[in-house]
Amino acid sequence: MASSIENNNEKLTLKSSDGEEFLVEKHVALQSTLLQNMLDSDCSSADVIPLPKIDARTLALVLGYCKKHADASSSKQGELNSFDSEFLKDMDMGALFNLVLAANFMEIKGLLDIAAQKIADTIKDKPHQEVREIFHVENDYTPEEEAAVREENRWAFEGFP
Amino acid sequence: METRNRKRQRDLDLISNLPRHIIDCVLSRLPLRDAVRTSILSRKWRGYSATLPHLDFGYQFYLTIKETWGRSSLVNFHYELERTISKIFVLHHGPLVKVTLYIPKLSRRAPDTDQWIDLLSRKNIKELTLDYRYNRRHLLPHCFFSCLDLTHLELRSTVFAPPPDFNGFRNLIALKFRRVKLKAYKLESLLHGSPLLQKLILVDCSGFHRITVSAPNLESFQLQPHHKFKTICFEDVPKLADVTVSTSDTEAGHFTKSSTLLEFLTSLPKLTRLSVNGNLLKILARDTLPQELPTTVEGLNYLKLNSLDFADSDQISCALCLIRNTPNLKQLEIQASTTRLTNIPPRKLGYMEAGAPFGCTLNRLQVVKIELLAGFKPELELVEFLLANSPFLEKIYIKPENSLGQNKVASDMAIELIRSYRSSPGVDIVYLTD
Repeated sequence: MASSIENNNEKLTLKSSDGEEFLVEKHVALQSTLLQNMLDSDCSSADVIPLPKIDARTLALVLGYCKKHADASSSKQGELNSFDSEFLKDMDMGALFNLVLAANFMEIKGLLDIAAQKIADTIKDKPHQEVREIFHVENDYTPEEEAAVREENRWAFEGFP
Repeated sequence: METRNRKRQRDLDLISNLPRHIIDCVLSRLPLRDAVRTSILSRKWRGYSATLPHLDFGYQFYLTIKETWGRSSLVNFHYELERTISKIFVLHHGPLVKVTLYIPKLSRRAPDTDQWIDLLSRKNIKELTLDYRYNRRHLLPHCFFSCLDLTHLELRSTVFAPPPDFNGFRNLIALKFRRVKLKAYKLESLLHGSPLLQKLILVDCSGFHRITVSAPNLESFQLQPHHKFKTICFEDVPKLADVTVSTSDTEAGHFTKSSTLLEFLTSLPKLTRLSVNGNLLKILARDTLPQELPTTVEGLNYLKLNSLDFADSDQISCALCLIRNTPNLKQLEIQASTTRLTNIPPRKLGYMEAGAPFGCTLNRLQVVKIELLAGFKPELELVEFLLANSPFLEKIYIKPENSLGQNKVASDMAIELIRSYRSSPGVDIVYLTD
């Protein structure tokens, strides 16, 4: 708390797509390059900043991430790493994709990185049929085309059904 | 019905419609094999995988190919490696940002890597690693020197002989040369033509015996020179903070024209991290050691001394001179060298008493790590000296050398150190054994 008083205790209000308002300390908001640029370009902190693409549930998660990273000192990298790995651990795919889009929109590089890593880990080493199911990817190949793609990169499919 | 189902499926598909740079973010975190395999998910994904901005044909890729094809004869497997890489390059569209190539030592014909380099030079490549494992260094083709968008470059086992009109890589930020031979070309010219360079690593390079490092943006520098190397000096390095220099030899000719400790440190105004080895300390200490070091060491907070020979009084005096006179040292790491311990060292060398008076306090020192100790008196004296003069020391890690007597060395030291004076009452002494 002492530190937030030193930081003039400035706060700003973010509004989610479903109309919920979040009061955020400035140093937490600065984790987002988008908000940082808005604050730099003389955008009054008294205004409410609308985030029309981000729902309240996702925004709450994003702000939880930002708060943890803003409050932790740089010497606690180990603690942050374990927070990051726990943060996405049991998240369902829908929530993960909302989060990755929010991180992208708000330009929070660290969050985008760990979310992309989580998606990559989900794809890695799995047969493509399973990947299609997990992400609901529609197979628009004809059987002949699919066989041709497979043949083109035979080395990569070796050992996969 | 059919079309409605399809539409519903498309709405459910979250991943295929992500912005392209997020897709690339995901694909670049996959091994190349998995990234290429996504081409079979759908037509859209085939497009993504044909335009991957990062292609990592590194050691992991080599192993994948080896596992896939290695069961047949060796020649076939190398042929498949070359064919697979060539095919991916042929199928690739658009620009390439980052490419890593691991090129193994081959039994017969070497792959035509120059053809790949030519292709990369026309794709505005930014980050390139050419990791040749040939015994004979590979002569880089002229087209390599037209990769002017390079920001990160790593070369191994190559001959670097640019054409006369080459003026450096003006966008280069990080450069690593390992076993690279410069031919009819000066490293200084490369530094001069690459003014943005922040990080430079030179390991076992040849074709030059001396370097003058002058680089306005250089922050980190590492040199592990070839055995014939003679001189290093820093001229204009206003941002250089992290320096690692080691030398394998202290014999005649080697580093003879190098600066003294005083000159060395004076030429590094922004130094915060320094890692040197015992041989270099011996060379830097060849004239009389200064009583005080220049003010430039005030920024130094991390010091690492590798292969420090506790039986060599020149090395130890120089190490002590550094430690004593670095007022803001926070972390000290020492790796002892036991190579000369077959020569019986004097029973008590008394460096601490013989050197400058004790009048120093290491007010910032928090962590000390001392590795590969053999249990000699001078080693113990150094630990005692640090304990006595570091009021805020939090932890000291002591790891004896890996031998049968390791536990005995640790317990003997522990017994000795129980009696010694500690200016930091809360200091934690940790003994590490395997």
